[in-house]
Amino acid sequence: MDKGYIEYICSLAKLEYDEENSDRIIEKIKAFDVYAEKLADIDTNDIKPLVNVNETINVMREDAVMPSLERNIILENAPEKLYGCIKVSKIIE
Amino acid sequence: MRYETVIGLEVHVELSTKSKAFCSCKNEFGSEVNTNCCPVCLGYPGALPVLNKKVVEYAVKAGLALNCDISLYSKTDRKNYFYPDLPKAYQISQDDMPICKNGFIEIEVDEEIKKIGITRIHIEEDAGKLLHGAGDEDYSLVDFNRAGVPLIEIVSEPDIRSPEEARLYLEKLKSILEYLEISDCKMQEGSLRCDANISLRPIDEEKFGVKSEIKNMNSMKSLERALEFEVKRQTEILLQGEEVAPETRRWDDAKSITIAMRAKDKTYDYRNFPEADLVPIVLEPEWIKEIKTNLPELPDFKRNRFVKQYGIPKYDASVLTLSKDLSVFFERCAKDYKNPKAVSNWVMGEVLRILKEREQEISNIKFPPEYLRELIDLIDEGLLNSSAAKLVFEEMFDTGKEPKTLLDKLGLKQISDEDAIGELVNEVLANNQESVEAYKNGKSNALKYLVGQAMKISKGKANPKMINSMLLERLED
Repeated sequence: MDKGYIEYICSLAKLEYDEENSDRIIEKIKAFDVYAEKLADIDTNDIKPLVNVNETINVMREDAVMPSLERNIILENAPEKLYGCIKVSKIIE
Repeated sequence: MRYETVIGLEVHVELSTKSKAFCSCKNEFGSEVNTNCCPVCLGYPGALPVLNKKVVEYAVKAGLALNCDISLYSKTDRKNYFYPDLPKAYQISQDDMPICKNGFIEIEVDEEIKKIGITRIHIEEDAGKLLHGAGDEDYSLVDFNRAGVPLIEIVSEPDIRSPEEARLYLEKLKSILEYLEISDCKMQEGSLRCDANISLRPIDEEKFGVKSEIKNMNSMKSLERALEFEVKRQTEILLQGEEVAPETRRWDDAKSITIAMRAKDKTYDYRNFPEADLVPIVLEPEWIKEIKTNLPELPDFKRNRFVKQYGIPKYDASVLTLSKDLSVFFERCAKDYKNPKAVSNWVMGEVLRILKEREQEISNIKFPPEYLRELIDLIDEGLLNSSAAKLVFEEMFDTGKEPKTLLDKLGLKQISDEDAIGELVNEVLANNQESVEAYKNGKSNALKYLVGQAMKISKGKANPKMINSMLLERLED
């Protein structure tokens, strides 16, 4: 975990961050790590896997079409748009 | 060293429900971009997915038709990855508890039945569509209409041993899904997509070799060709004493080669975890039983029935039942008809030929199947000879008009009038003395020539059988 990694995560999550605070941020994120590692020490051998916290099952809907959003509303949320589409950096594998 | 090919297929099938998998947006191919989207399929914060019951029903249908065990308890998971066509940055899928497991498909290889195992079938959602310009623009465009469209992924066991078997497996799978009417299975439009894992191992070796994953095969033919190419490529590498690199490769149809896309040396961690916004799927055995009872007749069953009911060869029945629409077409034609083999010949011959030539689907054919039956009746009644019938057929295909109307319009009505045939025969005999002599001297081929001459004079309209017998009569006199 270093400054470069934090920068990378922020760029992926489109978050701005203040370089002056980077040490503090690193420390905080490291604390998550420490906490998560604690979980590995717990003995879970006799515990059934939990699929869902509540006991509800089978919440389903009928196969019926309802109106979608207007396209201009969708595009209002896009930083860049073109030809009715959301414009993103070129991705070709 | 000789090698054995090992192939497993992963097939994604878009389900033809009215609405999407987890929201009520329209599930439709070809809509105007970004018009079938809502907060759920766009992944807006706080939006909650609700599973479409039809998706579960269709997945169970597929599972039953593919001989799977249906899970009475299954759940959905989040499969996490980062890509612009995936607005939530995770795909709702099923990881460790898929809805169907342990099935199989039977294919026929060299007249023997072979079982190909199906590991699992799971429900998931499709991603949006990225549009890349043909030029050197530095951007891509995203259309989210496809985001959230329901899919089932059908994963086979590595039981396939040749590119041909892979094609047969996929053809059979497509056929079964079409019969179930749960997908339109159009490879060109991407509603049926296939990825292949392929590796080679020395014969008698149990351990699998290093595999490549092949993508972007848009037809049955390209699947087979891509795998043939890959067998050759991997064999050459192994024979040189080198190792096949674990990688994902893309089939380039125009160049007929596979091209490396990315290395597969580390398995990508999708950090699957239960989708907490959706609850477990618990199925009642009674409901599954009801679906099973209502399954339609499937291709293998129909093929055997055609052989029994219509007395046509097994090969014909296989061709006719591979496509549901074709089987229905045949059956409407052949029903209560005295000679189903004649119908089968026409459907497998002229009908398939013209569809291929005009690049059309049987479902879009302009004339009803009963018209083909009428056409064959006209031949039986001696009103049309077979070459003229083909002309009428083409016209019928293009215009959708009744054969009787076309017969008159094209002036192709067969001449079966005895007097008219008699005159024709007289004319031919008078003008071809040499051939007549040749026949009398034992050259039986001369008869064929004389029949040909009569047909020529009549512009193909004379009844060849009548000419033949009348000529024989006169020559033997």
